[in-house]
Amino acid sequence: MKKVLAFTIMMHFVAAPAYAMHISEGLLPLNWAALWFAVAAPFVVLGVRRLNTLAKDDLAMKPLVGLLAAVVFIVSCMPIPVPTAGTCSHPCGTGIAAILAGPLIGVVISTVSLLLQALFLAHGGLSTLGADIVSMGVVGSFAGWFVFRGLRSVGTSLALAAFFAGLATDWGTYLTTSAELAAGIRGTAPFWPLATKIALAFVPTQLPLGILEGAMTAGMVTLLQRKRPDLLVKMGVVKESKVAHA
Amino acid sequence: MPEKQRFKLLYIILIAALLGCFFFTRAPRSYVGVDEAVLEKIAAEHGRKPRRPFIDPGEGDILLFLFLGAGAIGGFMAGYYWRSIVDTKPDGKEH
Repeated sequence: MKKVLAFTIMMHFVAAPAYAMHISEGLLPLNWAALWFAVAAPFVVLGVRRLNTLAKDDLAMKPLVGLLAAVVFIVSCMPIPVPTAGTCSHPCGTGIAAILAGPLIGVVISTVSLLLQALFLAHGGLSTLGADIVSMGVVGSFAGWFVFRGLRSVGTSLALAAFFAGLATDWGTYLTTSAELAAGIRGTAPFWPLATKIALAFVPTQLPLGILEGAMTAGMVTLLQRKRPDLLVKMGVVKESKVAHA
Repeated sequence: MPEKQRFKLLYIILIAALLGCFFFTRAPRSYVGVDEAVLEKIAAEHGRKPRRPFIDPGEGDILLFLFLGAGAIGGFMAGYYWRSIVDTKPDGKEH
């Protein structure tokens, strides 16, 4: 608690513009854009298969997946003013999807959201869609899911594990975006200094936004645990024996 | 302190700190969408400029309208599915 308080007070004094959000149309060269599509494709295919299997096995999953899709879509195109940076950025939401429905479903949900945003909201590009799917969908979902499962396996409470999963989703996404952008635009410049420069430029915006995303993830998971614990049991988020104590 | 109270206190501190940041920050307050203002800026330093989107919303308030519409549809969907989740008992029957 004291560390969080000290950190947020410290953020008052970190005043710098920041870099974030989806990669815009045309920023990545064609070869890099194609590479990220190739990286994203198997995850999307596996995610669609998983979604079909889930939908066949249990019709009750449909409202949950629909809810998560709506949440990821809204959250990932909602510019939130970040006072510590004086700019706007957005959370990802894929951590919640990964925790509740699995990381592969998180990839599919983010793919649909990113495609709609690129097509109709000029938010992210179509040529850079693959890179955005990899950063927000693949890395965001899997980072959140691994952190959540890892913390739960060592006995961390549901809310705390979800908080850190949200944090990992947000920070993982933006670290990946830094690497993708650096790799694409560096030309003959060395990769690591540029990637580090972009990642550090993210810090004033994404540190507080990551905390917000963690809080949001913890809030949603605990709310669902109160309202529909059976759904969490069904998705393997909590054990049936521990529903009352999670 | 019980865990629930600790979390409530943490939320209160975070919200208060964020509001405090909002009013007392020394950062420039342009609040520009950083996808346009900054990603493009650093890419331009390395010779990459963004292209116009394939479906260009153009100038004026069209983009504002599209975001509002997307938010309204997304919000309706989220509310609809949330209601069908919380109004359904574990055995599949509605309340």
